Amino acid sequence: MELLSNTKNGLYCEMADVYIDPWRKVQKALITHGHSDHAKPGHSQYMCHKNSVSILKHRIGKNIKVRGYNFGESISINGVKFSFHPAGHIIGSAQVRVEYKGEIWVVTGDYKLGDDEVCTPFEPIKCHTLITESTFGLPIYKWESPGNVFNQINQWWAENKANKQTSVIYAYSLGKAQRILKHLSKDIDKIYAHASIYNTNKTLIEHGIYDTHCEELSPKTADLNGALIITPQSSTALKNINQTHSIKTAMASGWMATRNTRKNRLIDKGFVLSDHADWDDLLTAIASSEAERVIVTHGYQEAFARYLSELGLKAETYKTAFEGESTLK
Amino acid sequence: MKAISELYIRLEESKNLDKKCDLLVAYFKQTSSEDLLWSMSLLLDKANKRLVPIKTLKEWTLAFTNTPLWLFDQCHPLVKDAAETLALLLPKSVNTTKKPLFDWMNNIEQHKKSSSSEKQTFINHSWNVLSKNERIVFNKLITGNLRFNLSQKLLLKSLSDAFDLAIPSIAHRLLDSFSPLDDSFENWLFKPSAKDVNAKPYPFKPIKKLKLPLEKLGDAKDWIGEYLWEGVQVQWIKRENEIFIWEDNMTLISLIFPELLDAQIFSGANIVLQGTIVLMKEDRVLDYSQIASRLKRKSITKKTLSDFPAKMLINDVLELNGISLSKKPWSVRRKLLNEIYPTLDNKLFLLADVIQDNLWGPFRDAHKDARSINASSILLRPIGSLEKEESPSFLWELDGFSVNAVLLYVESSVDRRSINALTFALWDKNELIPIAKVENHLDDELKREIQLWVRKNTLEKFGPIKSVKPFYVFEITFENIAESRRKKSGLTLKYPTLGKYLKEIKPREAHKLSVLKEMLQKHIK
Repeated sequence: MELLSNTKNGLYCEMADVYIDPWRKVQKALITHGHSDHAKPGHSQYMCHKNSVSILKHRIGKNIKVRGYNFGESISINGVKFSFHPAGHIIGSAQVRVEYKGEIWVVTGDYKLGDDEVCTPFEPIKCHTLITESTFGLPIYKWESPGNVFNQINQWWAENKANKQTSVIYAYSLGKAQRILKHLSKDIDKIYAHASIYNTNKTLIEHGIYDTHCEELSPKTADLNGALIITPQSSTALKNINQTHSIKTAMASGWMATRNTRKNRLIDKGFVLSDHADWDDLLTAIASSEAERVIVTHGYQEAFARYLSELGLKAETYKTAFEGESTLK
Repeated sequence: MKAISELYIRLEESKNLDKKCDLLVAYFKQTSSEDLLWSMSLLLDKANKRLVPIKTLKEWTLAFTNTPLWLFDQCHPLVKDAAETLALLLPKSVNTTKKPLFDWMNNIEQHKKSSSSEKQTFINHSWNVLSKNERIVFNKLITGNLRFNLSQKLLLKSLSDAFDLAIPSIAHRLLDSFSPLDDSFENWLFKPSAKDVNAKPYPFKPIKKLKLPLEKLGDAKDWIGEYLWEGVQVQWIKRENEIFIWEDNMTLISLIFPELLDAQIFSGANIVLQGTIVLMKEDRVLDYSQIASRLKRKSITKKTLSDFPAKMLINDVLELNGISLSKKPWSVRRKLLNEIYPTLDNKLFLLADVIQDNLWGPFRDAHKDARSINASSILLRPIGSLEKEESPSFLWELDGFSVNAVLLYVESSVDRRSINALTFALWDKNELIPIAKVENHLDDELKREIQLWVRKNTLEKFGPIKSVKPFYVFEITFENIAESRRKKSGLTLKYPTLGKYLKEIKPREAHKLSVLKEMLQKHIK
């Protein structure tokens, strides 16, 4: 029997009878982070990093049974030791370390390397078996330094402002939105967030795990000339903007790395900014885990596992229900 | 390399022409003159800098990056562009270089004759100092795949804005060949040449459409009518034994019509003729789509020349023997045309017959017959009219057609707040076949009504385009109809526009496709 296995409900530890990020309703669920493809509603008991508690309550429901833990704090269930470790993906995101009789597995969840100044940076954890995501597991995905990207965003806003246009950035309401808001230039005097982002921020700020304030976009927001709006991309996202405003739209996502995906979206500009590890960082993370065996999940798992095998690693794939970074989130 | 690469990427990103023009002007102003002539050669897609085929560059990239072929095959379909895929496979760039464009171009030129391994070393070294966007452009350049595809009009406008020059006197510079290796930008753009004056056209004057009844024009005998065909409105200029052809949008299109460039076709001295260039097959004037596709070509093949030869229908003479005729009345200019015409090659030039009578009747008959000879309108000019600022002539268009069609697709605007275009369809048995896409000219109220309705009645989504249930029936008016092999309906409508909303007509009662097919049979004999 393997310590963790891939079941129809999700990743399962039979020894302790707990699931990690299960996509069907279960008793005990360890949650890596608050994105909806990882934190599903309906489980009887949630366990996660302490910074994810308010996020889960905000997104799933106030009355869920959830317990938060510190990074590195050991949780013993039926002789199996579980602990959460920083994944650097979004606020509260964690890798799950599982240890039983000296055998160690690590489930990365979604992760990125480097410090985004919003969440705790990724820490490599040594293990025997690593279950890694592979959203951007192809060598065409190599991120520029985020500092450069934020400069591009700030420059783009300045250009639009000079043309009396409103800048609209499409970003996922949990994660990307907070990261961008944090790094916007101090020169941008009018910043508005769509209600879903504004409310997420409010929760995070109340719990002391985020510190960048901005105003909520409402139908009454009149003065949008030269303003910057941050919103998830949906058909209703812009309905609160007076039709007379000239707007420029942009998307910040890892998918913007190729010209072809930029063209296919209804946007004026693409910024390459991802909360996932790029090709080089995936390889770095795997190497630093010193794992003998690597199991690749959501993303380009087949290609990535094949490449790892050719490098001489023992690599295989799990089919999971996670979506990775979807531009529509 | 940096500036031209940023320009390439940003030109591709910007959708409107004003923005593209701004980008070009900014580029021209910031770039050193040593780099500018090379830039022009690249922007005009004239620089052939191919060092290696893309296949070889792929092998070298895979070797350089240690990428297995199967992994490239996984990536290529996502990126779609081979040169870009190769650029993305390279390790992250850390170094940069200030090497100017002309140095790069000279290096590439020098390596054309190098051995394969020398080329490979040069390319590997180059990648090491280039950024992501620079690598994309560099890869395209050295594999002969870099295309800016900019119109002459846009380049002329940008050059003229950046350097404060008049378009008519610089246009010929874009057509003539030049060598950035031997020439300088200053010489190329600013050095006066006889052509600056010789190529200059007279202003093209827009002609008003006739919206009044004929009788309001006064006496029929004061007017001369003539058929016009669909084609390119041009001025054909021969001065100092050189020929220039200008399109009415101020583009110099001489090279598109090589058959009309031989100075021998008119033995006389300087002359400026105005008229329409059309393409002919046997004795029939072809519809506009044929000539539109020729205008897009970069080079004209012998086959095109022999299959669809061009002819110019002369409407006017603006200059003769170097003397402007703008003070001469139309009756005099027409007489001059009659005298000149026999000295022109009649295989290349046609002079339209005139319609003249004391009564309007024969004018009306000619108007009715126009479609049978594929003419598109009748030009009416007062006998005594001078070539004035505002033309007193009228364009008498043929009567249009209309059908009642069902709304099939709705395309939203980029920001999803409005409707861009509507596609209409006709019935073919129980299926709706699209016949025309028209721009949204709905009034605000109807637009809002349709937007709300679309939300609840969308069948399928294709990006910004939604297919909707058959419900709205509109009148679609159009000027002409032609065959089309590319379209499912087998036909294409010329200038379709949105007519009235036909509230009383049920979708099932809209027209059948067979109605248009009959129309097509009647007009294309």
